Amino acid sequence: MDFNIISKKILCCGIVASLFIVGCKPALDEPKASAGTANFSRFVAVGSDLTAGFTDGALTLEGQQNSFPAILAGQFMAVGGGSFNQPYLSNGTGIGFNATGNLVGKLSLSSSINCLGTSSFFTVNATANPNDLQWLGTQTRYNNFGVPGAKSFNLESQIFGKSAPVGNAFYHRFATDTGATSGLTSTVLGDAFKVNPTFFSLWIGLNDVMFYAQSGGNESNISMNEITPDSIFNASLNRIANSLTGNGANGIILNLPSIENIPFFTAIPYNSLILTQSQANALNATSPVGVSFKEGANAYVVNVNGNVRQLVEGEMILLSTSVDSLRCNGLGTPVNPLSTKMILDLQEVSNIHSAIASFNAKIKDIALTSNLAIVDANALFKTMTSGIVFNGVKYSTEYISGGAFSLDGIHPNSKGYALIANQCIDVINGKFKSTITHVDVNNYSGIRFP
Amino acid sequence: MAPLVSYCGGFQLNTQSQKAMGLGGSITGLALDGSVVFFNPAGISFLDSNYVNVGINLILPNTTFLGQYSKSEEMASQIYAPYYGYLTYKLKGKWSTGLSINNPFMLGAKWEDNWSGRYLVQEEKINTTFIQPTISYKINDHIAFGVGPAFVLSSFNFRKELPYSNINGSEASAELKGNTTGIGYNAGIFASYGKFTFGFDYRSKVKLDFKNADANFNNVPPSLILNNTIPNSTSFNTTINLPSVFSLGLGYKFTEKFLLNFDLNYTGWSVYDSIKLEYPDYPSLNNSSAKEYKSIVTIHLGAQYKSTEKLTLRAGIAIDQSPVKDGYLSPELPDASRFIVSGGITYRIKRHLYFEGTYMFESVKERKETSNLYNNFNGTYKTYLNHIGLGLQYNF
Repeated sequence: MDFNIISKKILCCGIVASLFIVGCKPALDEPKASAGTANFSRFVAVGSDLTAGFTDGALTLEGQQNSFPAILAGQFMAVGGGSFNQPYLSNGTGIGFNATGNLVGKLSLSSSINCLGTSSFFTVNATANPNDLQWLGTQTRYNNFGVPGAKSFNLESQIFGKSAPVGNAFYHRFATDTGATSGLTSTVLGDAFKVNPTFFSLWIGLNDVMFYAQSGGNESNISMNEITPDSIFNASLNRIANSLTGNGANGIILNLPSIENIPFFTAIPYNSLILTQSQANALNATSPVGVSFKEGANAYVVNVNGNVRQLVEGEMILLSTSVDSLRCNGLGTPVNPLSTKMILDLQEVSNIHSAIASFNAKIKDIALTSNLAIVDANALFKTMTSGIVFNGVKYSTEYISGGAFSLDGIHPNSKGYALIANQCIDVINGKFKSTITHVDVNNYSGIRFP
Repeated sequence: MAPLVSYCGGFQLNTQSQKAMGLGGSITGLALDGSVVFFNPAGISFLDSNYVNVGINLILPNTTFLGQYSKSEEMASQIYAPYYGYLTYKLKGKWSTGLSINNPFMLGAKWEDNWSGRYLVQEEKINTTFIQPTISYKINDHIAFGVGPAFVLSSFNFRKELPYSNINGSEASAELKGNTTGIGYNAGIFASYGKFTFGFDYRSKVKLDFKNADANFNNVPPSLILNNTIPNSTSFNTTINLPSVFSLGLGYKFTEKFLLNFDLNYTGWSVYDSIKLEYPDYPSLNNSSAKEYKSIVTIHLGAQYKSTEKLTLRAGIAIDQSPVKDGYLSPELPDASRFIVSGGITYRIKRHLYFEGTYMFESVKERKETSNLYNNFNGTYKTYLNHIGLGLQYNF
């Protein structure tokens, strides 16, 4: 024993003990985690992109590993939770589909000098590995049935396991039956039921509205982009909840956020056309009646069936709109107005609001009738809009700088998913008298700046 | 382990003398050695000879934190070493003089770099050195008055992680440091009637203005430098207000060998209301963290027994309030009310030369923050501090 150790012992413990004072290092009682009345041994997650861990415009291995159900399962381990298998991709750039339906990898952030000569960010898609689309076979039972792109009624669809575009490329990968013999595939719900869950999470319905919202209100009249009618959503949700609780499983159900609280719809404000007095004068000289500009912030201009008008408060420009064209090419001015595909007008915003409101009402209703714990994701996203401070770090719905959403502006990044997981843990602890601990949101990966 | 070098609540130290420490900080009503220059300048007039006292204290803090996760975290091992030096000298007639150099305020906190509060603080140090020339005037056999200006040197440094990740996933960090000077004063009255001694002392608040302090930001992603979010380095201004301390002491000499002293301190911590950092070139980095300290009262009781010609023994206890209000408890200074016990000796080595040693233990009460108002960093803190003091005294 060297002198240091001896002297430390004498100084620290010896003297303290002789003064009848407790030991040297202050100890705090660490809480024991308990499962309460819930049984987490077979946890199954059912849902869409948000359940799969979709982030940065793609499903990646890292995203899957940090999906909110995977984070939950990690915490359940301390209270009797079993293994949590996911249909993992290879470790790479992941798989996603761009607006034109082409296979792409995840987005990453770049920075360059823009057309105005200042430094700004832009995103680029990596190349995807097509091998990641291959069917994984029937060998493994999975726990995460989150399928990017899934709407409520898709979870029971017997063609959903076919390869894209007939089925869903993400479900096709791990469907137990891809319909090779019967022509009908397994269903997401059926596969989930086979695991005989003791506990589940269900977060479905956002895609029932989001396809419409992301397409600027289905201007091209594609049936896939229609908002799911309430009757179909309600019936689907009834059957999904009945099926998942069929064997007596407990579970949580998450409701849907509002588009005001998603950066894809708020990153470019309707009135963020900044002009000098001379630029305003020049535009006014050629502007049609009813369109006028002033120095400072102005509403952008949209072309509705040949009529040019300025956007009004409450209307939204989609993040998919070219920011460089807005900046320098006169996009959004009478010279080069926005198309209706790039925006949500007041009617479209209202359609989205009422769909989300009625879906959320149904989710609340199902939570009551099926005795599920309801996680108010809508409130969480709303709170995040003004900012949530976690261990000294502020997270908000600001695009890029907010830190909780990924580069696609719709899906959270891993930090955002960790915030959601903590919200779920609070609700689970409240409902099932369990004492599951939170995760440290700051330890998860977020935006990586070039 | 944990470092929160503080004693007496907040980050005020009372380790400026072996005798004071041995008596649990109860010293204002006594004139025992050169440390009176600091504790009560008027006491110089009541010393029995001229004194030189020098010493150092080793402070070994241990803080444990339990956040919202199941694992507790401990501060990194640190040793802090405030020192002191005093000289007193009786002039002709009723005047006496003295000089004091010490570190009355010191703050230290060093957590592991990857701990859960890393975006609030990884390391913080505030050090102060007070240099105080002093004169004392003995009005009559019973009462004296003393006063001296305090010239203050201060330095601080501060490190924390920033939530900006570069392309490899490693994060940026901030390192702030600065030096400045300040000025204050110390004034006291000392009285002696029969077996009673009485002291009153007021040490003024001190404003420390840090101008053009250095802010260095490490490992910042280049894109954030280009778009002027964060620079590699810049300067900033801040102000730290050190509180005034008002002390009353009452000593009673039972016999020539045995005496007691009772002290009451009132520390005006309410001047420590917020720390604002202003970056003239990067206003977007400006921030203000509310401290909202409240002024506190501390009670000290000490006893001294001269057991032989060579050996004097001391013991003391003290009870402290914390200036930190609920809602403001944070890991830079996870303070709470304290209970303090101490014991010390003075041993004569040679005719005019004495060795002094002290051990002091502080238990900072377990305290839980449930809703910190500005950083939402919540959890339970508990701190122990061990102090080991060594000193020499020379009389002439």
